Amino acid sequence: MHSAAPLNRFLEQIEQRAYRIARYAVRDADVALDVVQDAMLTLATRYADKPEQEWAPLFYRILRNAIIDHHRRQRIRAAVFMPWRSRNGADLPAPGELIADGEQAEPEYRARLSGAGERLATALEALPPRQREAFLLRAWEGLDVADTARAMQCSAGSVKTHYFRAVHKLRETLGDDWP
Amino acid sequence: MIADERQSGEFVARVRDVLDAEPLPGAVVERLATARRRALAEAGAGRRARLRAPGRWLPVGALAATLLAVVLLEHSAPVPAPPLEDDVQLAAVENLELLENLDFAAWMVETDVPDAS
Repeated sequence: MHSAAPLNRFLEQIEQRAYRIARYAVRDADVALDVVQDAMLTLATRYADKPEQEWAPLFYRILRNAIIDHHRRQRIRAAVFMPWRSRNGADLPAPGELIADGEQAEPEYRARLSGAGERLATALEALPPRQREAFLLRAWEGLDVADTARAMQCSAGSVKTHYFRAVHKLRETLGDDWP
Repeated sequence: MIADERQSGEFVARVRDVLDAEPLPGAVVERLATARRRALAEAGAGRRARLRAPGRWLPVGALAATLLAVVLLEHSAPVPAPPLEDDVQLAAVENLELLENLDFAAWMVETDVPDAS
């Protein structure tokens, strides 16, 4: 029988980074907690028997799908409750636009960030989602190119391109004298 | 090119440092830990339920029964091997010669052929 201790260690190591990655994507603390919790539950109940080295790419793939589902639900909800905005189907609000209110709801969290952290958070949130994802998984989570590609369900070449563009954009936004 | 790669590497290291240094609110840390414990508990409960479910053991039982049947058949009384095709043909030829000899003997009795000696 599979022991729960290694899985507990794995989740404990990544849960805070996963929350932050989810939070950059959904920009709402409660939603970020929900998607991370769902991802943990899915990994633990369905994939705990997989080899440990597969857990990280699997977990981030699950998390990514949960974030995409959240954005999809937001867009559908917006289409139902703000139909005048989606009359042509092309005028649906972008996910970031919909969840901006969540950001305003947690000013105390923003206040905790240092100046450097806040500038970084703003720059990360401004990145296109795929670039942000590739950057955070490679640079922060420490996944290699192959595992990042597995998590993002794309080719290794796409990961390298997204990562390169993300680094370039962040350096441009933050400047070389940052922090 | 190399200098730019080095600068990019240093920049990424600074980003990592800033991200790692940024503290999460205590309430969030606690909720994450609770979510983890809940996920592990549900996974454990699900695994135990699957182990208890009688249906889980049906395929295992069927496989064991099949293997037992195969083993029993292998070790039961030996069945004589069916004759090979050549053996059948040989036996047929021998039977034909025997029948011819019997016919010859019967003809000799009937015709009372005198002994050559």
